Amino acid sequence: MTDVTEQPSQETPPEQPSQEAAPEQPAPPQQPVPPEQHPGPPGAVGIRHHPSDAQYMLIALILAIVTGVEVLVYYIKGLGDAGNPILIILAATKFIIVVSFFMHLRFDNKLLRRVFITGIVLALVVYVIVFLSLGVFTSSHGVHG
Amino acid sequence: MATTTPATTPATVVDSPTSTPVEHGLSHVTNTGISNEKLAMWTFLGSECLLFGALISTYFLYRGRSVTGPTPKQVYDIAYTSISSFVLLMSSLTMVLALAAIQRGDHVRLRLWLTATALLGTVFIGGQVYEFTSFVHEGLTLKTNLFGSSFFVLTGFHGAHVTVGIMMLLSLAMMSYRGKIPQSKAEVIEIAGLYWHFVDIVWIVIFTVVYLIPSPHAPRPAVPVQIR
Repeated sequence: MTDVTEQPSQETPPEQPSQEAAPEQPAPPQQPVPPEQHPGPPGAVGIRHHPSDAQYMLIALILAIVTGVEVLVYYIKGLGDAGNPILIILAATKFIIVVSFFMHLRFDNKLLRRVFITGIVLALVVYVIVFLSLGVFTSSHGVHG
Repeated sequence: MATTTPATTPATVVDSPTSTPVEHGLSHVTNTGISNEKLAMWTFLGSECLLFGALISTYFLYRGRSVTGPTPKQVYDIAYTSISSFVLLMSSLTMVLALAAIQRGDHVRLRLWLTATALLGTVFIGGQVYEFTSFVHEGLTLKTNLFGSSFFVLTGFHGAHVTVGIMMLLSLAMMSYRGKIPQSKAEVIEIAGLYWHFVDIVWIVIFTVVYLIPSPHAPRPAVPVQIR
C-alpha cells in the first residue's frame, strides 16, 4: 500500500499556511475493540456483550428450576390433558433460553438468527403437513405394528 | 487514488473499509461480518433441525400405535431420565463457561470446563446405555414394535451426536494442553459450543415429547383381539 499525500490547491490564498507546512497531529492510539463490541462491516448488526459467568450460572439455575417444574407437572395426575400444553410451553421456554443466551443468538448477528429460525420453521411446516396428510390430528391413520 | 492489495483470501471474502480480520478475531473478513466457519455451523444446525424433526415426527406418528408391548409407560423411568436431562443441561453451562474462559485468555479454566463438559456428556451417554440395556431386558428391542423402533432410532441418533460432541470436546482439550488454541482462536470453542448446545436443545424437545407427554391413545392389548 502506498500513502497518497494531498497536493495543495492552487486556489489557496498565499496568506493561508500551506497544508504541507502544518504540523502533523499524531494520530490517537487505536484502542483494541473487543469482538463483542465491534460494529463490524457495513450492514452488520452491532454485537452486544455476552453475559458474565455469574449470569450464566443464574440462567442455568432457571433452566434447572424449569426442568423441575416439568417433572412436577408430569407427576401431578389431576392436570389431565391440561398438562400437555404446560409441558410444551416449559420446553419452549428452555429451548429459547439456551438458544438465546448459551448459543448467543440474542447477541449475535441477525443473519445467524434467520438461518436457524428458517431451519426450525421449515421443519415445523414440513412435518405438520406430513401429519395433516396422514390424518394424525383428525382420526386414526391405521399404522400399527 | 485507490490502491489495491494483493488477494490473499478466497474469492468470497471481500475487503471491508471498517474492519480488519485481527479486530474481529477471525482469519479473514467477510461481507456478512460473520466468519465462514460460524455461518457454516449455524447452517448445519439449521439442517439438523430437519433431521431431528423427521425422527421426532416419526416417533409422534407411531405413538400409541403398537399392538404389542412393552409400552412407554411400562418401561420409562421418568425420575432417572430427569436426572440425565439435568446432567446434559448443566453440561451446557460448563460449555459456555469454557468459552467465556478462552475469551478472557484463561486457558486453565478453558481446559477445566471443557473436560467437565465432556465428563457430563459421558455421564449422560452412560445413563442412556444403562436405559437401553434395561429396556432390552424388559423385552423392548428395535424390532419389538413401532414404539421400540422409533424410540431407539430417535434417542440412538441423539446419543451418537452427543458421542461425537464428547470426542470433539476432548480433542479441543488436548489441543489446548498443547497450546494450539490461543485466545485469538476462541471462535473454535464457540463453534464447538454451538454444536453442543444444539444437542442439548434437541434433548429438551425429546425429553418433553417422548418421555413426559403421555400417549393420547389408550394402550392396546399385548395380544390383538380376534374378531369373529
